[in-house]
Amino acid sequence: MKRDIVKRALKGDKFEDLNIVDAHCHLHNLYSFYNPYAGIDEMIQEADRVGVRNICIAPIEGISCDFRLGNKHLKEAMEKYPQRVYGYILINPNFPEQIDEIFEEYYSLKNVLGIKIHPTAHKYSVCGENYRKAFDKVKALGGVVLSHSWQSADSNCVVEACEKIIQAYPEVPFIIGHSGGTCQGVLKAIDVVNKYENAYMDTCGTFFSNMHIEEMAAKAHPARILYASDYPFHDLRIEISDILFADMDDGIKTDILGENFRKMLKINPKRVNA
Amino acid sequence: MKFIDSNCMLGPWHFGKLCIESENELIMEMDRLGIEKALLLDSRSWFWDPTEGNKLLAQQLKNRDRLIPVMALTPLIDEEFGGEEKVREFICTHRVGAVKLFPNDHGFMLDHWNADVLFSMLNDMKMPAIIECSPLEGVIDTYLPGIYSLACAYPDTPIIMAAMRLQSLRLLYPLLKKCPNIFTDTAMLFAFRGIEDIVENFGAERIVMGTRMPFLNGGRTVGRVIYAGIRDSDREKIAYANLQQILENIKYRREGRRSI
Repeated sequence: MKRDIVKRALKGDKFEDLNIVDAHCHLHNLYSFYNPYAGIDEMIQEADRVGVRNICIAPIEGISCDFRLGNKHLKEAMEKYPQRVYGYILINPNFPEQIDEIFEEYYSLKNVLGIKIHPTAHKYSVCGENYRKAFDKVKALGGVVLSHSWQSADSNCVVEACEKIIQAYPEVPFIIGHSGGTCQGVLKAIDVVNKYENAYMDTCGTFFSNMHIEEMAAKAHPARILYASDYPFHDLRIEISDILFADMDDGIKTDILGENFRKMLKINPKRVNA
Repeated sequence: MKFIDSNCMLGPWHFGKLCIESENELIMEMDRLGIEKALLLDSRSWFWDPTEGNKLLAQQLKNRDRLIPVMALTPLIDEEFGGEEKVREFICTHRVGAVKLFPNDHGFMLDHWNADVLFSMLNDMKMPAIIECSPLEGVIDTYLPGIYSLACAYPDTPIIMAAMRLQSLRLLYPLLKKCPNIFTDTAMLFAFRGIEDIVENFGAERIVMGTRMPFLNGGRTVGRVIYAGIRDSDREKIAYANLQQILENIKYRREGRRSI
């Protein structure tokens, strides 16, 4: 078992050689708390500090009140850093009449990887008809779905609800964002990724579960775990340190930090790149 | 880079097995991550009975060169802990490195009018008071005015806000701005560029390293500090120097003066 990554991390090495992909990021700040300003330049600076190669973003404004502006900012960020920034277009199920239009305008952009949905923020079940309209389009056009998930009283995106979509769309890779978050959520997410080949769980926010990455990697199919930071919602260095410093084989770390993500993209490749 | 950890715990937990359960396991993890010393609380003083948990920690702790005991207290010094004299005796005998307060979970108010005896003693000893800010139940927010009044009244008491919850900089910054003896630990300082922002606005002196092991992986905080976008001299302050200074300032006085 190799343990070089932790030794390098203790020295503050940059990990450019690992081609790290951050599967779940945002852009900008949110009204409910103060963070220092997080524009795309600031985010790239922080990615560089650790050596994160690619970040996959969904601007905050798009998962709150303005999905149109969010998609515009996504496009601008990808155009500014075409080798670094990838993204998910933002769908708001409360505006079903605009789903086609958003796909039309943005989905063919080369660096768009799929869609990001936030059933909690938009108060709409992941299983709802309007989301299914978007999932149908991803199935037809290629790409992936990243959904917020949290095991709580809000049933809109508990892992069981995500599972129904994972089952209904076996061709579409589905990332269970935050792996359900809580302890019960993470345990359920582990069950789901072990059961369905198109199911993936990401690491951001799983500290709420008190389940450490070593345990997750031991219980879940290790090829289905994706490193994600949720930054700038949180700081990028928090979640990546969890993996870099974990008491775990370097091969598993390397897979979680990027290899798994790259393989996932090959399952349902996008067929509409401009 | 060496580290001294202000936020560590050992002992059983009612919601399942924790990933570090013994002193040996904790020492091994500290070695793996370069953590030289840690302030250590016994979980039973948080979740069962403060007096019994404190005693168990004092009796069972072996690696005293690496693990520094933390004593849980409440403002009922006389009724629960046998009076100030006994508390001082315990602190001095066991070289307690900090007192920890759980106003939410232990159900007490934390304000000048009811915590004056406690804080007068702490102030006399320059003993750090660590406030648990991520309680089992509720939020720390309603206690902040009281913490502010205590920090103003007892300026020789370093008050460490431990695991101030996510996204709470709007609550924390006014305290850092007004009270030079208030510090934050790093345990849940997860805000984007949070460490860098605090260093820029208030100085690196106001942050102490805290991992919150075994609830969180220690590597989170270690990595956050190693990769922080700050000067190396500031990094060292956060990693160990600030806490070391606080610990060195403690006056282990068996007899003291109340200055309420």
